[in-house]
Amino acid sequence: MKTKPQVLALYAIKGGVGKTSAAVNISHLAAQSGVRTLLWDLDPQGSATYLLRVKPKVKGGAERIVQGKRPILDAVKGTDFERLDLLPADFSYRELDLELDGMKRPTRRLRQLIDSLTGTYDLVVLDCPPSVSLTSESVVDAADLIAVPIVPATLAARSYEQLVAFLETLGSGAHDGRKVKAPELLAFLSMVDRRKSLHRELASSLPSQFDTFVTTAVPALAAVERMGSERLPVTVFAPSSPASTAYRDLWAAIAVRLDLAPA
Amino acid sequence: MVPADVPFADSAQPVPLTVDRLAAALAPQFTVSPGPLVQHLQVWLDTADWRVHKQGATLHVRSRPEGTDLVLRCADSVTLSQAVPATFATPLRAEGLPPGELGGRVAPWLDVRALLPLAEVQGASREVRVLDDEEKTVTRLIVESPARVVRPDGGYTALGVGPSHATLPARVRIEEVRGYRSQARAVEAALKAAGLNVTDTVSAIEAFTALGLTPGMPAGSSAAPGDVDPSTPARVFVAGALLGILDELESTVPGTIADLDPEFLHDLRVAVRRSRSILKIAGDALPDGVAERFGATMRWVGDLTTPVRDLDVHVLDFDRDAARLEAFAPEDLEPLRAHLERHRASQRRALVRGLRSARFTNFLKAWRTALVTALELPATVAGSAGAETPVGDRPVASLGAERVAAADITVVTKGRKITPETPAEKLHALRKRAKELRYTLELFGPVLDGAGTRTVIKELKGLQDMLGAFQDGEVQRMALRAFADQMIAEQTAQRTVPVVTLLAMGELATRLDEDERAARLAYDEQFARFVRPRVRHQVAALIASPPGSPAEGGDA
Repeated sequence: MKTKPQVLALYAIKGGVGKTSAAVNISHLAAQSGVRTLLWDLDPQGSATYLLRVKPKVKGGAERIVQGKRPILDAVKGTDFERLDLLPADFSYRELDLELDGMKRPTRRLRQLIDSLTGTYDLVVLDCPPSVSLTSESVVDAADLIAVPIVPATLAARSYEQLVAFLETLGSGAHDGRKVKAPELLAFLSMVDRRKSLHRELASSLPSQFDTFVTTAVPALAAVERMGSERLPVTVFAPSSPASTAYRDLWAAIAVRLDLAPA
Repeated sequence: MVPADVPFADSAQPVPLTVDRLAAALAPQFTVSPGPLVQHLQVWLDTADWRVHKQGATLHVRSRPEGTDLVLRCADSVTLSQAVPATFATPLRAEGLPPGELGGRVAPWLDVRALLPLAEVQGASREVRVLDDEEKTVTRLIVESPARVVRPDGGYTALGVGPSHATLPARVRIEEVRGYRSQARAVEAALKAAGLNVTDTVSAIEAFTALGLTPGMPAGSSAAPGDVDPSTPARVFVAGALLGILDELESTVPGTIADLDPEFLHDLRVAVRRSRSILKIAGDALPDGVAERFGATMRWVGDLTTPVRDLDVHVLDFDRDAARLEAFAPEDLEPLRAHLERHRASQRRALVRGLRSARFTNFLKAWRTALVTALELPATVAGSAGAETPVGDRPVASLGAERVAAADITVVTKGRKITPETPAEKLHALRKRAKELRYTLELFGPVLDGAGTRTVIKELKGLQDMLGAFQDGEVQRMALRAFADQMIAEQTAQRTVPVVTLLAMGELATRLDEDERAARLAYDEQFARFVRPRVRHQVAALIASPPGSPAEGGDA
């Protein structure tokens, strides 16, 4: 019997925290490990789309996919990597909230679209726009696991608590009256600079403070920044770098939670 | 760095398939990025009756410097590969497949049939990525160097009559990247316009076809005859049909001798049975003496193969039968299994001696010669002299209608006489007549009304199945008794027959007796179905006005 794809969402309230880098590298590692993976770039900026060298164009726009007028699979593009496909973003995704708002049970729509891919993909990775919106609610409803990159900063713990609280309100229906199922959370430190004492302290304290925090910390390295010029996952052009090692550890932790780890 | 111009030169290929040529053909819209050249040895596998192919899949053993794996490509585009030892050997049966998803998919397709190495391809290939202006891969090309294809050693050359080796030319295969169909089409058009050899044939099919194999068509069989001219002389038609069966028979012999799987022997026996039936049904269409001359030898071949086949059936059904025990455990029957396997081994030695004997080899040659001669004889010489048209010169449709009518009336007449008190032998005899009717319908079906004969055969099948279940129950019950006697007689100090085994065999015999009784009870219903008016009308329609008869406007 075919099983529905597991859904991993990379989510953050603000941009520039390494969310897309993580989405692209995790997707690549998942595919390498034998998992049939679809990376859905929901961010109208289309950064993931750019990194994978796909043109940011969806025929008919997001509207046709969300409304079911065009099969979602028709919009998918194969990447250069075996078992990794991409649902690219384009500028029409800036109106995704409007499209969803016009539908019955809008927060369920993304999950319905993903479920129609049963048998084709084992994992769908959502690279979400940095926002608090109807799209975010839909992502939360669709996801089996939400991975949250946290940049080490003075108020990092507070930011994380606020995020957790926000997700809980979504789950209880206290936000806008719509009840959204609360998925599992996995937080990780991103853009960590080990030369800074604050970063080192938080890298040690946060995982012990929150049990949803893994000890994996993705370093702030030039290698990760080079993704923009290489237009490749760092796990491809710098597989031995500390960043790649961190992403592999992160993928291992995610795979266990999503039951996608090899036997 | 890969040299820009890496030739796959093939002197027979008018346009050498080099990377530079690919790049030139695709410029300026696309650029190319070649990967390394990979040497490989592929051994393509399937059963003698193409069970993998019929699932829309391909299966091969791929040997590369980095290791050996078994690769399955399925109809649903799933590709599975599993590492296997370098010594991974074929033929193999389902139980020899490596554990895992791949084996789990393939095993049910095989059932009892063996996977055979049908084609071995030695070559090299290179992946060339076709890039757009963003240097994104939009199409993949698999550029194959000229490859040598051979039938593997031990290779079942009876499968097909093509060459034992061949060469595949350099060629390029296009692999579409999801979402980039228009680019794949543009690439294909550009390559073809440049005169390059683009193939869309799956590698397995290329290899099989190069060796004269036709995927999906079992060895020795030929394509369906299509429309047969109803005025064809019966001699020509019958000899042709028997030649086709002879091809099938010969194709089963190597696999039977090698004991690849039990179906080879089963198919050999079916071919013999069909031949004998046709000789009985329409042997008088052949030149004088042919049917009599070869009938005895065919009976000998049938008898030669019976002991092993009977044991095969017991072995194949063993676990299913053992699971039916209620008073005893399946393990109690294990000494019987060992006995069956011992006897099978010794009977097989006798079978193989017979199949390798001069008597058998000479029979096959002489039979073929006789049939070819019958095909080529002019009409005035065939058959015995006399005022009547010799049977062999009669239009096949007319003869076919007559023989179907005769076989049908035999079944109906004998079947009507069966009552609950009728001895079992009469039902066994009826089973033989029903089989003859079936073979008659199958033989003459293409000439009469193909769809009509298929319908009648379908209706006959219910009666045949019931008679088969009835006879098999008795035969197997008697066989169990014989096995028990043998096991007791063959006891040694080291090997005795546990009492519990004999008791379990007794219970099994009871189950078989129950099956036999249940089958017997179904007789009236099954026979009534076969003789009901609708079926009678269909038979009457088949035989009333055969195609080409005067009633149909054909020549007298």
